[in-house]
Amino acid sequence: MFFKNLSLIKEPLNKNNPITVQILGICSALAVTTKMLSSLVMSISVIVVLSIGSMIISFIRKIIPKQIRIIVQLVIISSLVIIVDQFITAYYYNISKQLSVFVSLIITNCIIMGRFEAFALFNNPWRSFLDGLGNGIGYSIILLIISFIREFLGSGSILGINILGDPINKSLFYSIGYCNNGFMFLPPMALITIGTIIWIQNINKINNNK
Amino acid sequence: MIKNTETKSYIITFSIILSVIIGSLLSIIYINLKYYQDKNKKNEKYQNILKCININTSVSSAQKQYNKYIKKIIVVNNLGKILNIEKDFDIDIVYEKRKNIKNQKMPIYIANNNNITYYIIPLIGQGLWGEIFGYISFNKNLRVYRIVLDHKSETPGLGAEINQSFFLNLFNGEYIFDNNGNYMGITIVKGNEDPKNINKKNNQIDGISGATKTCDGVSEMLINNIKFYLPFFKSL
Repeated sequence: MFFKNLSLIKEPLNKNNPITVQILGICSALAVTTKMLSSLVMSISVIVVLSIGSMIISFIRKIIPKQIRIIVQLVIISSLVIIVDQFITAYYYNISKQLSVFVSLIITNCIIMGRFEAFALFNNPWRSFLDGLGNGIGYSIILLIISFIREFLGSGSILGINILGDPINKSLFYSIGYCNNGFMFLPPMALITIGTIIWIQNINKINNNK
Repeated sequence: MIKNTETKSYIITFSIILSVIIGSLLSIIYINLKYYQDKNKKNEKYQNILKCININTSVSSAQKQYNKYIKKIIVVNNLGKILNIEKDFDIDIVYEKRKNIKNQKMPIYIANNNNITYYIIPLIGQGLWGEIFGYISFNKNLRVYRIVLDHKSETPGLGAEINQSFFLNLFNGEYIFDNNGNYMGITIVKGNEDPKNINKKNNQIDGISGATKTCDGVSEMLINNIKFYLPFFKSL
């Protein structure tokens, strides 16, 4: 049964990626990808909220009134995000300080509502959980790729660790004139990066079809 | 099996039951976790105050180190009058700042490290997207010793960098008065010709590229918050 449902996890990683194929969650992909650590924290939170949220919505899908289903979904998402935030503030306080900025972003992330509407409302809880998990991981992969590029080119670091040298004291590459690309911190550069990834993905798809 | 989920009575009943369940769940979780969250916030406050006298401590030893180095807390008003002297750790700065300035009671943490006395004051202000806050310490000559800054929701990689050491270290040794003894505070400027802040007497710090508004908020916070304590500092 697990292998039968494996496609639910595999497909969102590439073929049906939520950001590059379904074009969902673009806002957070622009906002949180200036630093890899923020992206990592956001990714884990989205995986938790999306997978558990999908399972809950699927459990109650037959009793949700159609007229208020969007509101119900929003209530479930908001509650899960608040619960995650409360636990992290209690037990992982340093991480919660990174997450607090993005709590509201998770609630507005259209990947979550999109998957609830497209999958969780029509499938059983286990399949919905796997779909949430797969889409969460697919979202995370793209987020980490974009944040790696933006942080590396924008500040010469990865996960906060200077790789190209110290830009303040001009060591390593900075001593021979290398400058950080400040444009990388602007949202348009995140869009261009996403566009480039979609372009590469489409080229791969065409080549595979040949 | 519920047959008709579209009647008004069902929708209202469903909404009420869902609200009660979600509300109760969130309340129970909040009440049960409040102790741990408050403890974390308190430990963070101890650590930030200690960082202002260059003491870096772990979470587990924060309170013990705080009790060792912070000798007393003085509460003053805007005229510099000492209102009471007690270990009053829990003054709500945000609440005090909302009052009329004549009614505000603000704390000064008096620390002693290696027989040197430091005066640590809290800071609260507005960044680009939300609150910015921290602590700043002065020696008896009213030169900045250390500063700790933090924020609630500034932009990552830009305004959020105000809590990084490369920026905070620029404040060390800075003067808050000009050569004529007039209060200037500390202003964060663009295009400062002194990016490593070697000149401590110009009352200026080089800003962070792309974080102009946050840095403007920091400047305003420093100027306004330190100004409150000037009558007390002048009486030293």
